[in-house]
Amino acid sequence: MIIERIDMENFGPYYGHQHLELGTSQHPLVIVHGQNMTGKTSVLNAVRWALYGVAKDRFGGPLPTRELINYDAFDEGQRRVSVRLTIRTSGEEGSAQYVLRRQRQAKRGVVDAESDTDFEEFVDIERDGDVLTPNAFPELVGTLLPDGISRFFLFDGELLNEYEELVREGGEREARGVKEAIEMILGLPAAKRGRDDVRALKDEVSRRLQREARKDRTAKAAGEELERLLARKGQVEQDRDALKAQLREVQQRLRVLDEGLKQYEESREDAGLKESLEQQLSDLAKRRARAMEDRRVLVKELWRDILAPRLNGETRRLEEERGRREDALHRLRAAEVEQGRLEGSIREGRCSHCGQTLPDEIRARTRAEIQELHKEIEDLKPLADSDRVQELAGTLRQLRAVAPAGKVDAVRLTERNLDEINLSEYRLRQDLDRVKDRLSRIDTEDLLRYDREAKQLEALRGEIGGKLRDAEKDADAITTEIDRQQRIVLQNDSPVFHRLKVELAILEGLEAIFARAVDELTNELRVEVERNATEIFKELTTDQTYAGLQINENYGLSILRHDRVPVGQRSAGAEQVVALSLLGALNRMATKRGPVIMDTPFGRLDRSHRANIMRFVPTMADQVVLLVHDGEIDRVRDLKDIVAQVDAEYRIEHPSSTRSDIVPEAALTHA
Amino acid sequence: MPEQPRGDLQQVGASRATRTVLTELKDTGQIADLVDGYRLCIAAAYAYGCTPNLTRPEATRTTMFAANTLDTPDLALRTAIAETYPDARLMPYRAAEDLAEQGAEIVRNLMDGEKLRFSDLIQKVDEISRVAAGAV
Repeated sequence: MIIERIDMENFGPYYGHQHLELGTSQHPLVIVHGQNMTGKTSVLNAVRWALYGVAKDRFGGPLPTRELINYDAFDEGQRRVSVRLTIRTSGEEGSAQYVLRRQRQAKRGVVDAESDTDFEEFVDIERDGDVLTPNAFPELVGTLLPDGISRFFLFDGELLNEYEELVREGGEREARGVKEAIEMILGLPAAKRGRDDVRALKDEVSRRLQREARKDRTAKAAGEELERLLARKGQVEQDRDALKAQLREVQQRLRVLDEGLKQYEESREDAGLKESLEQQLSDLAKRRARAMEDRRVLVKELWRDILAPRLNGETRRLEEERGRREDALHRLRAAEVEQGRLEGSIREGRCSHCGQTLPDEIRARTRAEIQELHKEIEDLKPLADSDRVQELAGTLRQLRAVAPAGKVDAVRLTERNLDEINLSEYRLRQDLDRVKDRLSRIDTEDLLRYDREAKQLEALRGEIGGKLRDAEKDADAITTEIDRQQRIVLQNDSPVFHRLKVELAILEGLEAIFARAVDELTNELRVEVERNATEIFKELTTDQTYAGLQINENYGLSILRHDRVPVGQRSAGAEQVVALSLLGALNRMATKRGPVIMDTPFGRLDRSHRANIMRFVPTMADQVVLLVHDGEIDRVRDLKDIVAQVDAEYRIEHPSSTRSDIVPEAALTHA
Repeated sequence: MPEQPRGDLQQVGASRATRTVLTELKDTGQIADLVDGYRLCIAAAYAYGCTPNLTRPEATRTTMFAANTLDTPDLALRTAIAETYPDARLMPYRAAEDLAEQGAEIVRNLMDGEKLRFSDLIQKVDEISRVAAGAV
């Protein structure tokens, strides 16, 4: 059986109509993310309420109808709450779709509907589109997922508490409910019912024997004593039941306190986390101070590197100027020498090189050359400034002395380091704010009160346990005396009496056979549960040195060390791993298959166990719905290995304190 | 009417705006001393190709350092300014003071709140020098 869809109307924090599609593909896993107090448990409660008509508060008590209706809807005058489940079953007779709807609304004429008596309930069923009679509702639910075994499918913190009672010394009375449910899911009640029927027949024969015994004088006295003893036994049993009721109340209150103390446990983890984050921030602050100091030292000389690019440009410009001026100076000197030589030739009338007389034509050309040289000299004079050349040489020497400091790369590196520090600090501060926010919601006064009261109640539980043991001893003593008186009565030897004695003997024999059959079946099932649970435990635990699990009379499981000695004290995380191992084993062996819905299943687990359990969870059932908060799993890290198993993901958004919305979460990819 | 320069300065100063920028850099631990920031501002304006205004009024500026404290023993700043700006050859520290004002404005524009990434300034100076080299 799988739940294909849940439709809720004004249920708990869910205002108006909201729904979850759960069975759209062949993948088993549906994950609903939501922070604490936003409505995760309400999803579980919606399913439970639709099937069995009871939604539980956090301590396991039933929620009144008024508390089921969304506050905003109630304030607007709406007095109706409903949940509809679309369920698909498949088996040898084929597949069928059922729609089950439960609705409660204020009775006609009731304006201020507050108590449950102010409301009336309606249920509807459809099978493959055909409407069935509402009377068939309980029977159908009993066929699909009987209430007695629902705790193994609709898994919440309460089951874990009950489970802890299974392994606690003296906790068997409190664990009776869960033990009976375990036997029910394993199919044991069929054998037990046979035994109980025989026992009822035997009691009837026994009563008829007593009536017959009254006819004999000796037997009559024994019969009267027997009656007195039976009355006394009734009284003792009544006292014992009262003590049990008292013990249950104490136990219930202890669970309430345990919830409170669990919050304290989480807050202690948060306090440790806060300290670690603050230490990391302090380390980062030191790193930042060092990086800042390094940068301050570098920045002292950085101005030289900032000047450098333009200074280099200026230096190049001045070098070019010096080059141009030196060139002009050389050309000027050469022109002046040539001009002097030509003027000498003209003056002496002969060539200064070869001494030959200059003809008139050459003289005229030489004079023209002198004119040209004179013009060139005049043009070069402004540029060929030897003082400026000398000055430029000095300036360039000085400019080159303004050397870059070479700090640029070091500054860049230091600032990249600072960027990384800032980013890390930002992330750590975000984490720290979240932790502080969680811690600020913890009321330490409450915690101290819980702690005190829990200690008192533990003492009271011990006291009641002692009285209960005394009452049971009394009952045992009376039973022994009853047996003795019965033997006296049985000495009567009339034919009727004789026949009844034979009948009684046969029925006692039959009862013994049935009792043995029940014991043997129970033992076989227990061995099988232990084997399956050990197999799963080894898959889940990160410590592979454990030898396995050992089951006790109550189906409680102890962890065995490598030398097969049971581990004494178990941590809360270990408790949860063992409980999940039992749950997995029971689901494997169950006579009924159903969807598993788990509320906050990873709350007590570290990351490694969480990863193991995330891999295991999709194999637990054909459909597994996980209701988790962000502190329990990291979507990207924890889901990456099982993303192919995920059918759908939803997120519970919480726009106001009285409303939550269920929205689809974007799918994760394999990458 | 603008005040006329009367020779070079023995003491350099800064306007309130420039002083604010420098104080922020020092108070947030980004520079060790105000003079480090002052030199950096001069260098920034220089690298950005700013021209010093030698006739800007002095009235709004208050003295901060002696010129010889600002410059290096080899007078590197004086040389760079005097050789780059011919008009400032006779009053390089007056030019330096004005460049510091312009540079403080550049630095302030690069700051994110009170924080300056010196790498951003280096990056800008690189870009400007590449453009200048291309123009040449």
